[in-house]
Amino acid sequence: MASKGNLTLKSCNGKEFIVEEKVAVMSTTIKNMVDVDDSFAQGVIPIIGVDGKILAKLIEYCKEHAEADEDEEVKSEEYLKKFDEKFVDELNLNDLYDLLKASNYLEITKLLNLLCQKVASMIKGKKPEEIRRIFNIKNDFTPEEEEEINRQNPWAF
Amino acid sequence: MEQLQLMLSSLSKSLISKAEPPSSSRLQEENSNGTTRGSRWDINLLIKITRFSAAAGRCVRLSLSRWTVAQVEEGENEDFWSRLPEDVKVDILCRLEEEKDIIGAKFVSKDWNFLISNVCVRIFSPPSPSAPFCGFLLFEEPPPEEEAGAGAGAIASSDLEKEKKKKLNLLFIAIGKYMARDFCQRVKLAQRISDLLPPKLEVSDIQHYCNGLLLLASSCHQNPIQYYVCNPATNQCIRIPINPNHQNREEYHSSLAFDPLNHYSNDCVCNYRIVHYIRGSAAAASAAAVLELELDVFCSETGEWTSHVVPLQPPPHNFVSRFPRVGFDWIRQTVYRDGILYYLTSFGYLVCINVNIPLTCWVVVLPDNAQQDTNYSMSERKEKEDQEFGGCIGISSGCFYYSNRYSQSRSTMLVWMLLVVDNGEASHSKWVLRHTINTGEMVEMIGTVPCDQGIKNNIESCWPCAFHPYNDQIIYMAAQQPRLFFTYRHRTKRVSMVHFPFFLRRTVLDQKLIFPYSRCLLPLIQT
Repeated sequence: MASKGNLTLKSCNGKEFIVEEKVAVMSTTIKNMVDVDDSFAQGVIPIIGVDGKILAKLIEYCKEHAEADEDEEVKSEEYLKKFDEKFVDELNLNDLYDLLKASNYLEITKLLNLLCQKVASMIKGKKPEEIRRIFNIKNDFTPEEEEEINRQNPWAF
Repeated sequence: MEQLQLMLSSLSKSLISKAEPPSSSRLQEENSNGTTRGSRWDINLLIKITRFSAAAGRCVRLSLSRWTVAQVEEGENEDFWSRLPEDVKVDILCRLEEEKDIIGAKFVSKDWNFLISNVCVRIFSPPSPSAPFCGFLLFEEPPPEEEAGAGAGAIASSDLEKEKKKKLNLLFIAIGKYMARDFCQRVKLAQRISDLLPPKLEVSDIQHYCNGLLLLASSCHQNPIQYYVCNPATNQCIRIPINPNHQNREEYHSSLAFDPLNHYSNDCVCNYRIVHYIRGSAAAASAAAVLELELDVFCSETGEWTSHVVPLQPPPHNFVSRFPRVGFDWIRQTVYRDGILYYLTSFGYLVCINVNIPLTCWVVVLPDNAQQDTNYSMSERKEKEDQEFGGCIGISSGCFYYSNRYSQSRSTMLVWMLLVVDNGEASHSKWVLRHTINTGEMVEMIGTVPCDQGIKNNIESCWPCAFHPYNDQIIYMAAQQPRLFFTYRHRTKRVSMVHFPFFLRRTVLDQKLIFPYSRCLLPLIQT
């Protein structure tokens, strides 16, 4: 049982994390749950579809940002920027997917923006073949369809 | 603003009702292998989102995630991309900024092509506020004869050189973020547009600009008129089928109606209308009171011209008698918004034409029309009528604005917003005064701008010539001799030069030919 001001989050593989409320409510989804129903604030909040490893990552991120929101002097904007950079740099594609999915579901807007920006930066300046290779996407155009897009966008390359 | 808020609330309501988890039949699409894959968004929903985000002025980020997350449960063998929720995919793709990246990404796969063509490109094309406002398209008059002669003489006046001199010069003035980019890139855009345009264009051949597309007519000597539509962002310039009736060069005026958000079709290409105004004539039945406009309309979906006679209803007092039956000089400026073409007339009215067939047409009295103002004495009224109406119309933050110098005191400029008041069945338009600009106060602020006394005096003779597409606190003004083009901020009353006066020596600073340019990434298709 969490003490007052703390919430317990439980991952889908049964790991429990006790976090401060201000950290947990960085997620709009959790905030809405707590606001609507007091019993969540007392008991355990199950985070469906998110495993322990990813939940730990989410909490790490939320903690830094919640603390920065509270006290700008300790954690400056510059510090946060560096933290964000390091945070996304360490991720592999699998983690990136899991975090994207989780932050979308939990509505952690800041993190979602950061991750989307990261994926977008992986696309920028690349040729279609390179993009397909990075994300392991199959080219599902028939030659005719490809021709059609070429016709519509004659100036693309 | 009220209008915008109303629109927003109704849109978000419809979105919320749409965002309920869809029935399982729509959720799961069987593909050829018999395995289920993530659902495709309902196309109407996508467009609603596009419009919603356009209205809200931000990128797509809606709480539709609930059901998209639920349905993308582990498809183990699938890759990173296909497992992502659709709204996250859109969010990512909408972060691409460069034209090359956005269009290049269409070639990756069907899924990418679908999302980019249907959602991202629309979000990034005007009038959506997410479309970056790049700057102004301006045009230069050809250099005077002697100057051209002197230049050509030096280089043994080859014919080629003469041709070059004759060619219309296009100037692109970058604003905001685009200003920070290197100068070459700006010159490149102007160059690219110039190269696109058909040869031997004159300033009078530039007909209209609408949401990223330019409408041009062929040079004087050609009969019948050949129209061109040009999209500088996609490097395309296409010929419009000729209408053999368009013979008389003297009596026509044309404008372009194009809105990537409203004219939706599955093709994901530019669908536009060209409205070719021929003349206004008195209706046979009651010659005195009713006026009919003769128009030809080209519709890009059908690729055909159609003729229309549209009665103007109900023409306000004195309008019909003042309306010129010949020529089109009375049209000072044309602006398109939400299916309606607005013609600013030179005699105190706004003629509105709804371009959705059947065409309808009505007249709005401008707020400073002396006819309506009973406070004027007879002599004042006469004086005001004699003096030509100037003024400028435009769209800013989705609202329709009109600005003009206030004739009673020439140092005052007024900015009005057009509100459409809906009371049940009938709706009527109402002007709301938004800003009052005192040119005297403006000059005092000029101290912060490095410029000489001549320019300072000159600023007092300025006139409004354009509105910032997304910021209703900014208005652009121009002045003559020397030519100036500057920004005025209502809140701070601050003036700042958009460009060095030197570059504007021969620029045409007519509000008709000053186009606030945002790129439109939808391709044009030859019909």
